[in-house]
Amino acid sequence: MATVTQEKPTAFGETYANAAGALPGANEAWIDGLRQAARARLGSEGIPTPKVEAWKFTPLNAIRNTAFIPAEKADDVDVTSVPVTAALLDDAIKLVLVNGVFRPDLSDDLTSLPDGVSIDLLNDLFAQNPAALKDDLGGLAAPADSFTSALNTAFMEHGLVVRFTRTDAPAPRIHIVSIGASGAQPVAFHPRLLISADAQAAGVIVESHIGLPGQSYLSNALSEVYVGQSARLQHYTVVSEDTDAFHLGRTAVQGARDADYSSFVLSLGGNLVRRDIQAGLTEEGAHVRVDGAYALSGTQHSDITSEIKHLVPNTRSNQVVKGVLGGESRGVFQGRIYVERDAQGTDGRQLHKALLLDRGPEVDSKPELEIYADDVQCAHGAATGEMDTDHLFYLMSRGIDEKTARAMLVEGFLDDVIFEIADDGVKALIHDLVKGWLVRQSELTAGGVS
Amino acid sequence: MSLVEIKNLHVSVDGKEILKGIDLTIDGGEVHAIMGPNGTGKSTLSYVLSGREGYEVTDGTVTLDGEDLFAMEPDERARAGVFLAFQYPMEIPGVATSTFLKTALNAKRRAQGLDEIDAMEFLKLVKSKTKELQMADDMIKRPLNVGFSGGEKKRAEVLQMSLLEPKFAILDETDSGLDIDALKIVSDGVNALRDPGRAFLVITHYQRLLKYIVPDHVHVLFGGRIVESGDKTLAETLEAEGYGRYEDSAAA
Repeated sequence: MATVTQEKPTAFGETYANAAGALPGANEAWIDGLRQAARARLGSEGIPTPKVEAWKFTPLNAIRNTAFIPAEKADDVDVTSVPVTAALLDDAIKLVLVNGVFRPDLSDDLTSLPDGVSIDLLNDLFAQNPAALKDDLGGLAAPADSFTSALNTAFMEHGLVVRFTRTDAPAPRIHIVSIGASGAQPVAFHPRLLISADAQAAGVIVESHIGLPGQSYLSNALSEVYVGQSARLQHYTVVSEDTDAFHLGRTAVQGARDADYSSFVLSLGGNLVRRDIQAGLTEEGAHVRVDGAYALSGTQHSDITSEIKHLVPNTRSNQVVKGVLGGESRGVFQGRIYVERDAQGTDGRQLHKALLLDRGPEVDSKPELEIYADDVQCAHGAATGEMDTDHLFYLMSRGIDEKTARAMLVEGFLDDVIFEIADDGVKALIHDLVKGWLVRQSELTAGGVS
Repeated sequence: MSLVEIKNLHVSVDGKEILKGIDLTIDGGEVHAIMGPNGTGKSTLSYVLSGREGYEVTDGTVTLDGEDLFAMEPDERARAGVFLAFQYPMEIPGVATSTFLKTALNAKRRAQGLDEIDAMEFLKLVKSKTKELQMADDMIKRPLNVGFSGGEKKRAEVLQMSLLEPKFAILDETDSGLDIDALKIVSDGVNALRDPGRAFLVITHYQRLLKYIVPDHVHVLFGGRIVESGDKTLAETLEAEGYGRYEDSAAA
């Protein structure tokens, strides 16, 4: 057997090395320590190959082979408006990041926020008040957790710190739009969000990840989310990156006593998208919903990987992820539910279903239950298949032509999980994005491009 | 020319002949019942008429208003006026009943050269129908047939029939899964649609349904053939005596 040489993350390591000392907060030992630990991991383990179990189905060759430059070195980037593809949520505070950096000129005014929410810039806190970050930053996403966490932590600088404090209705709603934009060279950026809801507080937060057309870039976004006692947080993530772009994102969430965290990930666009979700249920009565949907065409690759940890008695989790695949696309779902020995009364439900529109796509589904308690209710299921011809016949038997009937069934397949979204505005936004995708696919097929 | 003409219909499933020469003529305004034991080809007849895949017509013809049904796809047949009320209506998650009904109705209207129905008019129309069928108001907001009880599903089938106003309605075991109250509501719904321009083919195992939807003609389907035809009293005879007396003829 040939010697396997360790892949070094040259794309990041060398180009980025000089930048490290200049990052804000570098003079704080704990911040510098986090970054150092992350860089050490990147140095020793490199960009994971498919030999690494967690990345078995998602090869990162294309990322390894691209010489990304740090976004701030791309001085030829010019973004003057938010692209219409952002699909903004009504009645929400709009916060725009370009290559991870907050853009006040494109965002709502941070000095006139409604009651019940505070927003700070991560780089400001690093520089001026790092103590405010000490309890939470890196608490849920350590460099050792994953490549995605390590890469983000090594270069963490920009991002937002959002805290929901309002306990009466209406819950504040925030829409963060992260725009990727390269100049002559592809950029990589590492936006970091720290989101928290105080005890009894409620909030709605949407992350949209988009890019300027025709550009290659890497968005390496990381969100750490703390849901306090009896707090109710809705967190929606739309990944609609541009065709040639890469997205390696991770959400790590922790639910306190009776906390309720509802989330949805829509993976719609990008050359390669990987979303990791890690949820820890650390106090009794906590509940998480971590649903998702993906719609892929061409040679797109989308990976939704989740780990839900029931660590104490009487916590619940629900997860439904549905995917539609055309062309030669590849969808990956890895879902692990872990139940600690003492976590009696756990209720964990997980389902992944994929619908193949062509013969070309491939789906890898890896559901896992790891249960050490004996009094639990856990169920998981996975199914991949083509369209149900009985359903098709039923619609056609009512006079609906085949093309329309197929479109209705694909839309319905995804709507089935989209309808579970609690926030009506977000539900409509996500439904419209999926509908738009379906219309584009149908136009492509009609044009013979498929 | 009769509205529906079935001539010498032979149908195979997976190479096995199920229907072995059916002749049946139905005029507008008539209700014909097909009775027979399980496994005798009743559902095959309903599916081959509506165009489901997997049923191979090896001989014979079927015309609706003189038009060859077998030259049409299932959706074309539906727009031409065929309607099958399913024995087991499909549950379709994610497709709202109202969206489905409106799409089907507009497909039919376009085929007739009419404009699409106005949203308000559509809601009003559906509301009047759901009221007649004593269905819950929120039913049309729910995903199609998902979580509907057996009775709700059958009412939903009749609601669709009522909206689409077919020329030729086929009811496949519509009484199965219905309690007596639901049976009466569903039957009233069907009877309200009886019309000189409309033919009904009611497929049933039991005579029970035919007390409420009274047929003009009753045919016994046995071993893939119609072995006896008569008026509504034939259904009562069958109820009393069963299908045993056809065993010999089928064996021949």
